[in-house]
Amino acid sequence: MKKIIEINKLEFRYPRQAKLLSDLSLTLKTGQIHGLLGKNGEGKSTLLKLISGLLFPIKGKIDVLGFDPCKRNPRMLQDIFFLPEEMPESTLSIDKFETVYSPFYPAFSSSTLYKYMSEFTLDPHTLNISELSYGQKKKFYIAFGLATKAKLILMDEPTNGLDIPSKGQFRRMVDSAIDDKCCIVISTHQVLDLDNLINNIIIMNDHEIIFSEPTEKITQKLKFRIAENHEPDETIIYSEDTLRGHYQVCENKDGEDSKLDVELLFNAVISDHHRIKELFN
Amino acid sequence: MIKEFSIKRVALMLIRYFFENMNREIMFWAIITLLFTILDHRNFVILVLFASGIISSVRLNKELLKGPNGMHYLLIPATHAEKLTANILLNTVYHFIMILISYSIGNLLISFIYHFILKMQIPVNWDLFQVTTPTLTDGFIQTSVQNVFWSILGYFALSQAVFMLGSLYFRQNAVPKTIFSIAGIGILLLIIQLFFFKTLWDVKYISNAIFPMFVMISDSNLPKLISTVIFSGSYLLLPFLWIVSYFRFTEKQI
Repeated sequence: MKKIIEINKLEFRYPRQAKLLSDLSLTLKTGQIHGLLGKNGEGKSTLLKLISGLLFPIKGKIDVLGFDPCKRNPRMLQDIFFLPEEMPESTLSIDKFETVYSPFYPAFSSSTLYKYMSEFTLDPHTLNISELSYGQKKKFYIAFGLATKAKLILMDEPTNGLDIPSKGQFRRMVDSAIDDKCCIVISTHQVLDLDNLINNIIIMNDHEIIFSEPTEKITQKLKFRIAENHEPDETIIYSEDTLRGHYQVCENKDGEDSKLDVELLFNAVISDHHRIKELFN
Repeated sequence: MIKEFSIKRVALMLIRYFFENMNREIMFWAIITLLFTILDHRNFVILVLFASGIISSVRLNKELLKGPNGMHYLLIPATHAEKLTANILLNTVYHFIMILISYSIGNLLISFIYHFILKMQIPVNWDLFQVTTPTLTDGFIQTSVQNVFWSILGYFALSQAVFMLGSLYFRQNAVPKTIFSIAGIGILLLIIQLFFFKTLWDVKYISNAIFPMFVMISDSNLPKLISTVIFSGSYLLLPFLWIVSYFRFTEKQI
């Protein structure tokens, strides 16, 4: 696995606003799907914009595929696809869009685009992008982004607006698109949509990255369980009372296998990230 | 910047523009042609050239540099220089050529209407770039015809470059803000030159001109070196504005 993004002591603030990101360091490698999680206003979208070169840091260094993203070098841009939460308006039909934009991406695969579009039940010949609904537009841009075969795909809330079957299709498509040369970063609030998809979880809190670990390591170190009784146990890191019982995140001292609950992990990290940090270090 | 420059990507950017704006372009140039069919007076055509040019120049950047469309545009795999070159070609060369085509079609159309429908003969107007100046010599009025094609193209390119730069600086109301900025710079120049002339020669005006600098440029008594510098400087203004636009463009963040 190669380093694809290296961020070192990054600082960023919007003009005339308080600092949004400070002393942020992160390294992302190829062959992984990273889930970027955080509360509203933590700077997740801003971080994606900084990685893609849409915003420039005030301090620190970002290296993306060996390039400085601020320069917006075309050799870097042809290996990046950024899907923002709000998608661009286009007057083109789907096939015209492909004709116009695919030449910019040397690795673009037309067959992949049509395969993904048929999975999403989008008709490439009859539909004009401006006439598509929000969800359909999102499906099209996801399909196009994956078809660019870019080494780095950044997605900001990709499942927003997708219907229930499309969310499953999205997971399958992203899963099939990942290989050891590419890296996908998904920023989302819809943690359930990323279930069984991501293999690295990054959590932002107080404008910093407080947690970045592979899912494998998470399930080695932590245990996710539903307890019927709330018995005192020093291994419990976080507990949530629900009608079905007590959802708990505990230290996995006995190496027991459990299914990762991303939402629970997120809440646990936010509530006591020092303890989790210690555990992982 | 030069090493990365690709003509192919400039062409792709142009193709992209025409595909994305095909309907609007057809509509716009149809209206302009119709306007020139009704009114083909030289001054009107020049006015339309400059006014529509300014609007198209500003619109090009206004739409592209904010919101999701702006993000999409900035992330198209092409260098800033290639994107800017495509913009310059569109708002200067293409716009100028399209005005000429619309003017020609409008002219032919009105001649055709007069000739075949109204059964009247009117000549086709091709004097867009010719200025006829009457002069009185030895009691006789003589007319001299001057071709102003290059000077109109030059002023048009300059105007486009100024408003393109303005639209890169001002996100909203780029046209009035650019006009105010030009006025501001003009006033500043006036103050500087008044100070300059007053200090050096103790005069405020030369030949009653408010801007004595302009009189001096055309003054043949001016030292050759200075007049050459001023003359070359006026030609360098256009590339200078493009270069400033380039650097402003590279700084754009969304």
